[in-house]
Amino acid sequence: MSHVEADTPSPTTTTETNARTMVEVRELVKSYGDFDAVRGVSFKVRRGEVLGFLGPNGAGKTTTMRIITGFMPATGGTVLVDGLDVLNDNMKVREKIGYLPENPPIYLEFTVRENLDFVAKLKKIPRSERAGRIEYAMERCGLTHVADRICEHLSKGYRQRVGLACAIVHEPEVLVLDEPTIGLDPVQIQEIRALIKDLGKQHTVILSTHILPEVVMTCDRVVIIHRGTVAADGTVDELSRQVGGKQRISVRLEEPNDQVIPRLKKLDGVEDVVPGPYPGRYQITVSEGAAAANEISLEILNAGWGLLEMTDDAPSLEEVFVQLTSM
Amino acid sequence: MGGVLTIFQKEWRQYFLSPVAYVILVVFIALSGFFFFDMFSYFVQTQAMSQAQMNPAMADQINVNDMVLTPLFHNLSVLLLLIVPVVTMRLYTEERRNGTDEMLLTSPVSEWAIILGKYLGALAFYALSLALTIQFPLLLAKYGHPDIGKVLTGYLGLFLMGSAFLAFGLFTSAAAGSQIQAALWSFAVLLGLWIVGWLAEGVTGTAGDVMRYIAMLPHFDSFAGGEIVLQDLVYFATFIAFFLFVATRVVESARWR
Repeated sequence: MSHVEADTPSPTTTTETNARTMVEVRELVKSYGDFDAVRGVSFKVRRGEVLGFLGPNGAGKTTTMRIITGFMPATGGTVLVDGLDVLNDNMKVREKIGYLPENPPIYLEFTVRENLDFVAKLKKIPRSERAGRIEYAMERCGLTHVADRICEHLSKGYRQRVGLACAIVHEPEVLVLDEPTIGLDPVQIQEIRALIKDLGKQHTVILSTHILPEVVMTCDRVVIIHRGTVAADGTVDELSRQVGGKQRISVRLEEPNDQVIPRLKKLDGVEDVVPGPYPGRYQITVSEGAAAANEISLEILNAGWGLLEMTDDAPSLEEVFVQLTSM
Repeated sequence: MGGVLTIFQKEWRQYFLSPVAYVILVVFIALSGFFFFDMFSYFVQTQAMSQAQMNPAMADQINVNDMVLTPLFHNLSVLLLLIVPVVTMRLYTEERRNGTDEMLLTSPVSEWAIILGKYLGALAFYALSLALTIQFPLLLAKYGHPDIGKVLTGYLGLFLMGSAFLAFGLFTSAAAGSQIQAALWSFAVLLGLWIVGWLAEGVTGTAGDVMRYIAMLPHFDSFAGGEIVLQDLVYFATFIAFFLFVATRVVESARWR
C-alpha cells in the first residue's frame, strides 16, 4: 500500500510545523469489541486548509470524526486540536470545533433562529455578541429569509444549512463536516459545496465524503482511508500522479489514419499509442510530460491530420480511489 | 452552570411546543377535579347523614381534612404513576433519535449539566401541573376550614414523590431505545415500587423492613397525613440523587458504544 507524505516534519522543523498544524491525528485506534473500526490513522490538517476525508462506506470516517470532535474517546492514539488534547482538554477543544454530523442535529419543532440561539448559548457566546453571530451565521448559510420558519417545514437542504449554521455560529477554528451533501438534490449539493468552499477561507475544514467530484471541487488535500487505515494522503494531483505513474495524453483527429500509430510511436518519449474508444481518437502513453506533448502536437500538425482536441488524461480521483481501495 | 440554564430553558419551551404537554395538563386537572368532586360529595353526604342521626361521636370524625384532603392527595399520587412516565419519556430518547445528542455531547457542557437541565425542565412542568390543582384546596378554604398545614405538607409530599418519579423517568429515557420503551419501563418499575409496599405487609424480619423502606408509598403517607418526617425527606433526596447520577452515567456511556 503506497503512502504519500505531503507534510513530513523532520525533527528540526517540528516547531515550525506545529505552528501551522491545526489538527493532528496520531496513531488513532478505535475498537468496538473485537472489531477494529480505526487501525492506526495518522494525518495532519494545516490551518486554513480544506481536507477531504475520503473512504468507502464503513471505512472508519465517521468514527475518526467523532473522535476528533470529542464525541467518543479513542481506544489508542491521540488527537491534538490547536495543540490541545481532545481527551484531556475536552471542554476547551469543544469550543474550538464546529461539528456537523451526518444528520443535522437540529430541533425540528424550533424555528431556525431558536435552534441557533440554543446552540449559541450552549457554545457560551457572550450575550452581547449572540444576536450578531446568529445573524451572521444565517446570512452565511442563506437562511435569513427562513429565520422564523419552523425547521420541520424546511426541506432537507435547508435543514442541512441550519446544521451548518449551528456548526459555525461560534466561529470555530475547525469545522468538521460528516458527509454534508448526502441526500440533497443536485442544486442543493452545488449550493452546499460553494458554501463549504467559502467557509474554507476562514476555517480549517475537515470534510468527509465518498463523493469524489466533491473533493476535487472543494478540497486542498485528500486523505483516503480504507479499512481503518490511511491509504493515501496528498493533493489530488499528487495522488493522481502516484497512482497513474505514467502520463497519458489523448488526441482527437478529424479522420482516423493508418499512419498515426506508427509515426507517433517513433517520437521521443512516446511509449505506446492505442486507438481510443471512437474513430479518430488515440491514447498515447508518454514517459516525459510536456516535452513529449510538444512533439506529438507538432507531428500531427505537420502531417495535416486535423487536430481537434488534445487532453492530459491524468487518472481521475475515481481511478485513484478504486485502485487504492481495491488492494 | 450556564449550560444547565440553557438546557432547562430549551426543555421548558419544548414541552409547550408539543401537544403531549397540553394533553397531560388537561388529563391531570380533569382527573384531579373528578377525584375532588367525588370525595367532596361523599363527605357532604356523610355529614348530612351524621347530622340526621344526631351522632356527635361520628361528627367528630367527619372533617374535610380526613375525608377530602388526605384521600385527594392519595389519589393524586396514583395519578402521578400514570402521568410522570409520559412527562419524562421523550427527554433523552428524542435527542438520540434526532441526532441532537451528538451536538450536545460535543458542546462545552458536561453530561451533568445536560441531565440536570433536563430534570429541572421536567420538574418545572410537573410543578406547573401540580400548581393547577391548588384550586381544590382553595375551594375548601372558601367554604370550610381545612387544615392549611396539612395542605402544605400534602403538596410537599406530592412534589417530592413526583420529583423522585421524574428522576427515575429521566433515567429510563436515557437508557431506553424509544419513547414507548422509556414510558413502559418507568411505569412498570414505579408500579413495582408501589406494590412492594403491599407485599411487605405479610413479610417479617429484615426482608420485610427492606421492602417497607424501598416502597414509595409509606414515605408519602406521612406527608399526606400532615407530618414531615426526616427519614422520608432523606429517602426522596437519595432516590433522586441516585437516579440522576445513573442517568448521567448512561448518557456518558453513549460515548463508549
